Amino acid sequence: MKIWFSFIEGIRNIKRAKLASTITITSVAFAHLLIGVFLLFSVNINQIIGDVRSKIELEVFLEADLSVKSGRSVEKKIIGLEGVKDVKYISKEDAAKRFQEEFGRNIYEVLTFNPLPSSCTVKVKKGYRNYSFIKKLSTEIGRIDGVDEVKYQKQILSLIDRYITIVYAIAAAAGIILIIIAIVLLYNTIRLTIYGRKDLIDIMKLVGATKTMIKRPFIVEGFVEGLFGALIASVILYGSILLIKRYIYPYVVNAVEIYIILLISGATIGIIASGMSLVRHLKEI
Amino acid sequence: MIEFYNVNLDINRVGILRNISFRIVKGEFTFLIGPSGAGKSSIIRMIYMDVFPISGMVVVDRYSSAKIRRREISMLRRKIGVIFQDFKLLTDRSVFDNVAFSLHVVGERNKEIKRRVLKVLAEVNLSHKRNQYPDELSGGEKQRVAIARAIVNNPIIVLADEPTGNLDYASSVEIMNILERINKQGTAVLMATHDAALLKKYSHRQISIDQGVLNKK
Ligand SMILES: Nc1ncnc2c1ncn2[C@@H]1O[C@H](COP(=O)(O)OP(=O)(O)O)[C@@H](O)[C@H]1O
Ligand SMILES: [Mg+2]
Repeated sequence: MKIWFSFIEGIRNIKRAKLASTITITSVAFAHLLIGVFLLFSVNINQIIGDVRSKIELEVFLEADLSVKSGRSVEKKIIGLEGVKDVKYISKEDAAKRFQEEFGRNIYEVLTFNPLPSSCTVKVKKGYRNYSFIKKLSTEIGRIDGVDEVKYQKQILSLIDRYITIVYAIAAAAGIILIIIAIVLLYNTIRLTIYGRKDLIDIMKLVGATKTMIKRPFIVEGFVEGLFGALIASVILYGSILLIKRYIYPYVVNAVEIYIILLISGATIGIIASGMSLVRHLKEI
Repeated sequence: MIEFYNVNLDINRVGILRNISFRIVKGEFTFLIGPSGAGKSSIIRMIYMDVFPISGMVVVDRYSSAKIRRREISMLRRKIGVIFQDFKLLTDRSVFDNVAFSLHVVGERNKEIKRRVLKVLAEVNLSHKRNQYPDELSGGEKQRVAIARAIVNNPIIVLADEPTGNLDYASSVEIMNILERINKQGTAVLMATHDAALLKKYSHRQISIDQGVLNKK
């Protein structure tokens, strides 16, 4: 009952200060829209990068005349290393077969001998597929007896790892700035309603309302404005993603968690902002 | 029930009341009289503990200005009804909701609120206007709404700060009649006024104040 009353009074506050409320809700929506875009962008980029990373493998070329037996023992040593998912040994003969499959010609016919070295293909466990680890792993493998050379897609990996941090840092900074802007706007709207509702607050005090009871409608106001703004942003984002999925890029990832995060963020920001405003302004009137 | 012991009040370091002592007992009807600026409103504010003495003590019911806590102030105010010259109604809601407001604020149940609001609106003869808004009422009617709001919580005292100050004589008499009726039912009334014409008509006890000091009779 008490909560219901506070809720009604909070809604009354919003309706009374229509312009301020509209501006605030719009700003909260805008901030959350951008935050949502960043989050969805990150999720999708992550998905794509994850795909790229999962294809990354190290090619370990063994010394030219290494026996199959020694080759197998190199394979075993590599398997024992940290972060290695699996290792596939490819003998000189296997390599020749592959050549045949790929180019349609027999290497012995082309060159009369087989120059292809035996090798190992190394797959790395998830979570280890970053540039610095793979670099370390490749040196480690390079030190094993019988290993001639280790190759992997150095450039792609280092590129991804260098730029992904920058992208995330920019997104995080933008997100924080937007949240602060939303809080400031909410804070000021609540301040306006606190001043604008001096009559209400005075009467509440006069008839014996406790401080909590006096604060509640304003907390509700912040909560509703924050939540509503985030809801608008969520609806717009969700709609856009559906459209993108249908007309532009069917593989776009739409994560429900993002909308939950947005709504929680909106509501929390609303409560925090009105709480701060009350602490600051309630005693002034 | 209300006791002032050698009360001194300063506001912004300016002396407002000097060495005020008096008491009001249960169920009493008392006028607080004196010219404008004498300190009547200040005394009333001290009773509902809106301002506090710099020395001396105000005791209301079982609360003392010397050691009342914030939460207790809320509890005290639930036992006091206050009305003002300017009514202080909320213009964005109906008569019914204005009266119900003071019960909602203290967490009363909806059913009980409805019952009690309808009862007090009948007592001030405003049942038929319960769905109207304050701006649609005359001054006298507005003050009756304010009285209904003040008494809906069954207070032990009604504090009336120049309740007839904005009203014509006929409406003033109407307000007085309601206050007297409330008083007959056992609620104490303390009414600040400088309306000489009205005072002549009623023989209640008077506390007289001038320039922050009580006039001894
Ligand atoms: N908030 C205030 N700040 C400064 N002076 C005040 C304030 N409130 C009242 N006063 C002064 O206190 C004196 C008594 O005021 P008040 O109690 O309102 O008198 P009354 O109600 O009898 O007209 C007046 O001189 C008035 O100017
Ligand atoms: Mg006065």
